[in-house]
Amino acid sequence: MKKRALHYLILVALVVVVNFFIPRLLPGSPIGTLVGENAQDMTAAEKMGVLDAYHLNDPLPLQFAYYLRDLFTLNWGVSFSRRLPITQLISSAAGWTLLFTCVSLVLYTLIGTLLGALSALRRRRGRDLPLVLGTTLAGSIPPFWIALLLLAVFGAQLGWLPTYGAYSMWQDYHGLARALDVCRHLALPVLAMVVTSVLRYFTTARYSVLSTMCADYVRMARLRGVPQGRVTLFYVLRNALIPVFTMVMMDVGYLLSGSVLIEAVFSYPGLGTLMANAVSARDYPLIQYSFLLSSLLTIAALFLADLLYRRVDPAMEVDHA
Amino acid sequence: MKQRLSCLLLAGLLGLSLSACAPQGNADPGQSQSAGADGPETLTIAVTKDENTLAPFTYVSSTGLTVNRLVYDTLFTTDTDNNVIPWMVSDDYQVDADSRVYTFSLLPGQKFHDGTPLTAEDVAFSFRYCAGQNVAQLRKIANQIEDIEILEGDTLRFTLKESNINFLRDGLCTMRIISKAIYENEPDGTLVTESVGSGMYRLAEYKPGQYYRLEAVGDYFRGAPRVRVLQMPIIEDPSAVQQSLLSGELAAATSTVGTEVLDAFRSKPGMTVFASAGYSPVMMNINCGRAPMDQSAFREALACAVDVSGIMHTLYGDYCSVGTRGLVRSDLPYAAEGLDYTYDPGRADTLLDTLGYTEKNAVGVRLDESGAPLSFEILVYANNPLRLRMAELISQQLRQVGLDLRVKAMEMDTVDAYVWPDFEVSKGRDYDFAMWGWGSSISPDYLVNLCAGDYESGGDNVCGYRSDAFDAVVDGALREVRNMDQMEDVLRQLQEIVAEDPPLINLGYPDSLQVCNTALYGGWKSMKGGNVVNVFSFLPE
Repeated sequence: MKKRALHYLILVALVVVVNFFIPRLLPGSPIGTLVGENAQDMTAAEKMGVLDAYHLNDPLPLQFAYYLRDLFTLNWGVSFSRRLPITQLISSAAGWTLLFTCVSLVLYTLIGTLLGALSALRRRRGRDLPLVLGTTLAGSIPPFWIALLLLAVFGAQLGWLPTYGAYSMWQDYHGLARALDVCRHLALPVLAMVVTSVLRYFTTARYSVLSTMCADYVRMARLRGVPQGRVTLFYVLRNALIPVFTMVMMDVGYLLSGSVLIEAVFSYPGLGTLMANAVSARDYPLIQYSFLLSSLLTIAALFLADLLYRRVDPAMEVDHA
Repeated sequence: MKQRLSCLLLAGLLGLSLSACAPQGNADPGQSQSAGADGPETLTIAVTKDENTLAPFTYVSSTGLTVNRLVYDTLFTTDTDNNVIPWMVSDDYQVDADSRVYTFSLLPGQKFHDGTPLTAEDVAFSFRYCAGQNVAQLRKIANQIEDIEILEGDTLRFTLKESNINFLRDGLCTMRIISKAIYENEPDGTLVTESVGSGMYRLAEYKPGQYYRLEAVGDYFRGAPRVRVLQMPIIEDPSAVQQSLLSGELAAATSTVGTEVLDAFRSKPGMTVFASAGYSPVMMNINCGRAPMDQSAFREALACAVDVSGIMHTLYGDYCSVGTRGLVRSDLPYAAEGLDYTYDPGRADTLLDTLGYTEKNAVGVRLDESGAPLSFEILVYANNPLRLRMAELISQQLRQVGLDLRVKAMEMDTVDAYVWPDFEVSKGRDYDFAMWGWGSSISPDYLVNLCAGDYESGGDNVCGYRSDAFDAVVDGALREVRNMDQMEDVLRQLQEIVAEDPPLINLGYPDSLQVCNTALYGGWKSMKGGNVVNVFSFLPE
């Protein structure tokens, strides 16, 4: 276990280093963001002065040292493009993204897994074709397209659901009314995310259930006369869910990066949009810290998955031993 | 059973797609937007970018300038016909014969949104303060000033370091007036979080990444605005803006729409499309420093091989002004006549033959003297489908004269880094061709900035163009200009020069198309080369 933890620590160190270099390897410079439009109105010397003020002309090792100092002192500074403290920007956006991605994750995991298992159990009777076709069709639609479609139909055409934002900006709702309002704004982005993500869980669960159904211990249980319902529930499904669990943990790692395209279409004020805008503005500090958080969450999720595997699948403990 | 389920699923998706394309019904415009006799209480207008606190030192794009003009006043402004008019100052302002000394008096009754009176001290401070700030546009304006004197009362006299005939338009229409009391103790303007201007609206609330809420200033010196509250959600995705306009959730947006969606808006009752002359040129940049584009005859061949008018009308229909060889919009008062492009692939072929590119390879691409095919790349912003289509059309047309042009779509800042590294033309450039555009071409300085070989004057010369004739006029006749008539003569000379020796292909100027809900509010005023979201749209009659 200690060795494994050490591996993860090395991974974290690598991520910290890579996050510093990624923005600096992008073509272009943040000067346009720092001095606004019409950057050409400044002389070369004036532009150099601006870059100096942000230590962007310093040698890379020195810039890296500043980065490490700011990282560990939690003094993440101010965003080049948004002119607000980075911690404030990230914490505000991360909340909305986590709400959106967590609700989506729960829904598409449940729906995908249930449909996948149902499809596998019905396979012999040939009744799984509609499910396979339906989920494949839904999963093959690009997320932005389904998002636009939902926006056009349920937002513009029918007017049932709002077309932008995470809540009604111009209403002062409280309590349950506020919660319902947030849910109404969440409905279309979540629906778009679920429709386009369900296929992965469907196929994983379906394949896993099918292969478990053919396992020796399942056959043996049937031969021993264990009731079919019990075999399905405790012998097949329980073991078939291990690959699904792996996928869930992987997706937990991506919770913070959200879905940039869906957030953009629904003007959802999440971290995905913030990160995308930071990249196009060459906002080095915002890119660094938002990507770092996202990467750390991924590593943490993988670490947690490693720990939980032994509980989910005791056979792993035996193998390891 | 299973077939039925499959059919139902497919039919559902198809129905969803079809209903998205169907004409829109009458949507509820939203309860907060009830039209009144003198304008509604509230309007919801989308802003397409988060422009921070809207303060002059933190906005990030032209959208920010549009919105912050509602919050911050300028001494002069441009009216709906794009003429310069006094705004904060009285009509009897004076400009000396050399266009170097500007004298004007502030109109009475002006106040900042915190209630403090706006004085000549604040005006002088605004210019002095901006000279030390890192906002390029404002800094350049402020640095042109040699001295600011406050005469008796609220009268000011600005003396420029050099004569500048465009200072009213380029300087005084742009510089936002800020409060000395708020900024004087903060050397870095970006750190001031309050946004206190003296414009017709005050910033009541800003939620980063989400929205702005502007409230009308009841005792504004030019009269109380007709709409009391402007709710401005930040919606970046153009399709989302269009859907929100169609749903009635938005009354307008700061962004423009494409010609392909006009019919959808026209069929919707209460929606009006405002088309105004656009002054943002679209062009194909040519790297004039790279062979064989360094030869004037080669660039001339390109100008003949591209069907400028055909491309513009294919993409924009009648909603555009076709570019000319003079590189300025043909309806500007100083535009030289008779400089239209002529699509003549035959002449392009002849010119290329004359240059010695007579041999072709197996696929019909001309070969240079070393036997290599004349094969080039054109860089295009990946997020701009219209420019991508333009580049494809140009590529097809150049292929007809034996030139191979490959379209390379890249992220915006990456293209900028190749074409205009660090926004500093003296740093060179690394591209063959690029689809390009500028925010505006209306300033008389535009042509000089674009083509002057001396990069101090030619700060926008991203083509690396050099013409002795052009530079001689810039260094000679242009420096002697003292009035607009002289300026116009010189500008026509410059246009004749670039028409003979083209630095780029000036495709044209798409109209600015904006959609507004006129059922909710009828006061929208379209601005030539500007935005429907402007002070005149909300000024009392």
